[in-house]
Amino acid sequence: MPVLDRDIRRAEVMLAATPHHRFEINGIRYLFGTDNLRVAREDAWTREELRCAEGGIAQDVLVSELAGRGFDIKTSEDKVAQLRASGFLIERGCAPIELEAGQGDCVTFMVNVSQRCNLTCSYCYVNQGLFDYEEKPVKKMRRETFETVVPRVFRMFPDNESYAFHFYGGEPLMNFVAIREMSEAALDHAKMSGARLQFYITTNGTLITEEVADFFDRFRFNVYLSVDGDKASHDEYRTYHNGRGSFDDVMKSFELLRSRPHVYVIGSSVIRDGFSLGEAIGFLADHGADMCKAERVRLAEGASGALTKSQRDRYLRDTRDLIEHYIEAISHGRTAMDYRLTPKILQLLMRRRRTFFCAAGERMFGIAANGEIYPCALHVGRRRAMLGSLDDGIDGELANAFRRKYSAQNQPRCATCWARNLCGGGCSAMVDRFGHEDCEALRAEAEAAIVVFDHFATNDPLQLLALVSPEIVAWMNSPEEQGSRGPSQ
Amino acid sequence: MVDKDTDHRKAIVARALIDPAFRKVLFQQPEKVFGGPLTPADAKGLEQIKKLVPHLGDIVASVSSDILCTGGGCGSSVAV
Repeated sequence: MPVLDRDIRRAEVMLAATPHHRFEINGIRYLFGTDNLRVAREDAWTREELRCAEGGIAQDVLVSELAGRGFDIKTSEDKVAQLRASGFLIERGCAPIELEAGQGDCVTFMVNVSQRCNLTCSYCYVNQGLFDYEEKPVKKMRRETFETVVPRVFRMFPDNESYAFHFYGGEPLMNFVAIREMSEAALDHAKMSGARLQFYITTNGTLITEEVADFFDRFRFNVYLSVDGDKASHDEYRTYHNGRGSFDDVMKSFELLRSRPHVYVIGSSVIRDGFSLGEAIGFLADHGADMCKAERVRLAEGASGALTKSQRDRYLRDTRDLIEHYIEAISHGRTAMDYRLTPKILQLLMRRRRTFFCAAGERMFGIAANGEIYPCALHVGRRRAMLGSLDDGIDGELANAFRRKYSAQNQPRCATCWARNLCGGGCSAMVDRFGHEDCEALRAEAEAAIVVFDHFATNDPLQLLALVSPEIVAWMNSPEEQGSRGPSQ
Repeated sequence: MVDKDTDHRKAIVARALIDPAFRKVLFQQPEKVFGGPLTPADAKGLEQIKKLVPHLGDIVASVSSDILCTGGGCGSSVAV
């Protein structure tokens, strides 16, 4: 009788495949769970199992189907059990596990201290200082505005443990006094509250003096320095108003920053016609950048400098080539020079969904030079995206509406995309401007991240923490200097 | 050969990443977790874990890879 009961229960178990994406890179086939963020390698067994289970199938029937295709019963049972354990098969009717969304603590304000630039790079979104305003906006943040930024940030978000100020533009160093005074004010506030601070700047690198470099060093700035490869490539687009190229000045700044031990230099390159991702990373690595942030240009199709179809294909191939770059760095306990895969790899490690592309409108905001507040600096000037002002604060309803609009859940294009829980719906500012033209690149990044994760997942997943904390990995892997310990909790 | 102390440290990090209750004990009474007074290396390791956990949360939740929306609190490990 007990045997019969068990057999009946087994026969009644109906299985269904969970949503997944399958792909092949370097001759290895991978499975990625769209909703559960699981990763597995696909072989003939799993391919057949998932195909059979697409519309739902009784467990015993599935085992028999597999056995009928030349697999033995015991192995078939084991394989079905494995796919159930890994979440690619679940009992039909059971709700799949709802993964937590990632949650951060840091609140970031991107501050447009200057909305003018001394360069005229034709691919720049700043649009000759117009941004998305209909009329020329305020050129730079005035004293009466920048003196209110720090106190109001700390008043709007009084209890955070970590704050970041990211000076943006235009060219922010055209208003260095605002940057210096806000940084000092933030440090004073943080000393009182015990909060951590991080400072960032995105600069074209033409106005970095010894004084500026010393200041960055003192405040431990993370400097996003725009460099588009060698002189010929850089000077093709990154020119002063008089047409002179900026390369020589930028490289002097690069040297200045490298000589300051507490400045973290992130080389930032725009990949475009004639300048590939591989070339950009190689150049920045050779010149001593701490990190590289190279992304393809965002221009309307056919615009001068926009990538052609073959160049886009090369960009995708270069993205896949980053797999080796990441594996090598992680294997040696180092951060990778490139950063684009890191958040996705860590999402897979932590199994955290991303419901929104970034923290815009929730924990990240852009402050225009006139004190208006937007979801981030890239939305500055778009009246429909404005969330408030330094005087009036942030309108929570507007912020929530913005987040709803651009969440992966509420964008029809994302509903059927396998990468939606790694991507979060794409950059709202870019989706608003160009639609979903970047999805192919985001999916290529997601596949590359899955491959890197899989490489370490089985034997030593914590090694992946080298991407953000080589110190922890070194500590975990170093033998205890004072002998073994007693029992622990 | 796997060193049992490195295994112990890995177990601590692995649990600290996912278990808030464990983190609380780890940060408030680390000697309980480490099984005795902390060595200088473990004290440093603990400080790194304290820095890592919120940092990781920010990265996983929100740091995007777009060229224009840089960092946002997590681009590097430098902080004051």
